[in-house]
Amino acid sequence: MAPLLDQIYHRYGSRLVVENITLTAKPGEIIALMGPSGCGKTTLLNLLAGLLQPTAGTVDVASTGHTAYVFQEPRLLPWYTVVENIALGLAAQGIEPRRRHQLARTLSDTVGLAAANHLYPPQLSGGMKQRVNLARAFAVNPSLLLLDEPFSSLDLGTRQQLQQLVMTWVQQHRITAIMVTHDLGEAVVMGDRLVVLSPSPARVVHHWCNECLPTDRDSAYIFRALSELQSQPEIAASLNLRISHHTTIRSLTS
Amino acid sequence: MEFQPLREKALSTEPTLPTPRRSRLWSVLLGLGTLTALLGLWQWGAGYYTSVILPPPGAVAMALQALVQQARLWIAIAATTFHVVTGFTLALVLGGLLGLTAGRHPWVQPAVTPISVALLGTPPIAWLVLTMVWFGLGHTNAISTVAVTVGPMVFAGVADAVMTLDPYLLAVAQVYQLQGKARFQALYWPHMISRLLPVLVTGLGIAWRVSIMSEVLATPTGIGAELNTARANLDTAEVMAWVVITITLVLASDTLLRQLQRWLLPWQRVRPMDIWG
Repeated sequence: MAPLLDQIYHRYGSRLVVENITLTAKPGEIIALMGPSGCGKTTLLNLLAGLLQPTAGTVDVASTGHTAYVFQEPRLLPWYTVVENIALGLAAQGIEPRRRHQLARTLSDTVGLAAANHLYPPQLSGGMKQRVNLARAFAVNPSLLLLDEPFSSLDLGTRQQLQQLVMTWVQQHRITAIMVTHDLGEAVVMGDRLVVLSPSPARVVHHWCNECLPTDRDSAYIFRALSELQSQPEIAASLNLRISHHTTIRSLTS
Repeated sequence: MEFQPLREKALSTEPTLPTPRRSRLWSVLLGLGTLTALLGLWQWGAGYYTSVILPPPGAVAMALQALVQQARLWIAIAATTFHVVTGFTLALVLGGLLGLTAGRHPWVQPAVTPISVALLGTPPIAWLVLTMVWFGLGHTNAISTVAVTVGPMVFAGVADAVMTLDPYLLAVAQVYQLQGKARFQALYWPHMISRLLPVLVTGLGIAWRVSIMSEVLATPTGIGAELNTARANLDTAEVMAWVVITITLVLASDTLLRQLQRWLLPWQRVRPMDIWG
């Protein structure tokens, strides 16, 4: 299987932000990317989305099909309704307006926004905007889904609903998802693999495979996995975990 | 995967108007009150002067009634409308194309801005005098003066609209592979029209005034030319009747454009307090 990122280097001016990163992913897999703030996680997603060209190395996402990006801020078009925003990517696929609005309404229903189809972004709460953001990504039927801290600003209930939705979608559609997160608990719950990056320039400092299927990740397993991960000195150093294990685990699992 | 259904709130799901109905009625009543007071003041003042200096409102109304029954009113309105529409369209096309180019290619902006600033700074009357020298008397004066006055406004509005498009939205368009026409329809057009329509509302009002001013001096037909004739005949009541006609036309075109704005930009009528969820 060809890697998505192969020996990638990236510079902003003279500053090296990504150093020799190679990333391979399988269909149906969620890869969680973690690292300290400003280490280059979003840069990696932007490289995968084609928004940036690497200084060196190869990005190969063309062979996978469509790429969709769930941005940290919803970035909805203020002049489009919920349905029109969800249908945005379908316009580029040459689907006629009536059909794409029909598909968008189905997806709006999937993310629980059926009653809000005709509303404009300023009328939506933060959680609703993020659901539209997610539905817009699902609409293009992507084979590679990029998620940049998509749930960071949501309340716990909405966060769990959307996490479950993404996991179900990835498994059912056998797509690859790469998710940036600052939440180790979220990485263990959702990620099939965890890639931990160093402070800038980003290098892979730890690679962890989730040994449990998503359906089997109960709280006892999550607690154990978190303990294991935090005992790794490179993870603790990279994620700046300076507090005692007991406190950290309790805060992460609460 | 089941979601909790959204809580239905006691809110309109349609974009709501910025002003509640009762407050709008109050505004209309207040406006009518002011107008009545102004008419009363005018009537009172007319008692102190001759009809050449200040004819009473009744005389102006009669002059207006007489004009409505004459073909020259409609010919004058048609001529002025022709000047305004042609000049305004020219300004839209030329200013719009140049603005688009300047917005898309940043190197064009510094090249065109001095011309735009010079045209914006030139009083319409100066331009009119020049066109009289260059083209003689005729429709060209009014049309070109309108175009030159409104064109730079359109240019600046379009260039600004293109340049201020949120780069994060452009990134969304890039990720979802919106190119060419699809990108223009989804991003540039709605953003531009939202920035440009208020400029056009102002520009159209200016176009009427500039056209009439040009007609006073340089064209044989139009409201301005009729104003000039009435002035020469010392028929102040008719001069004022033409002013009333002008105000009516400006208000009508302004209302039309504002209605277009409401129809084209329904999302701008959404109030922040109408948030669901």
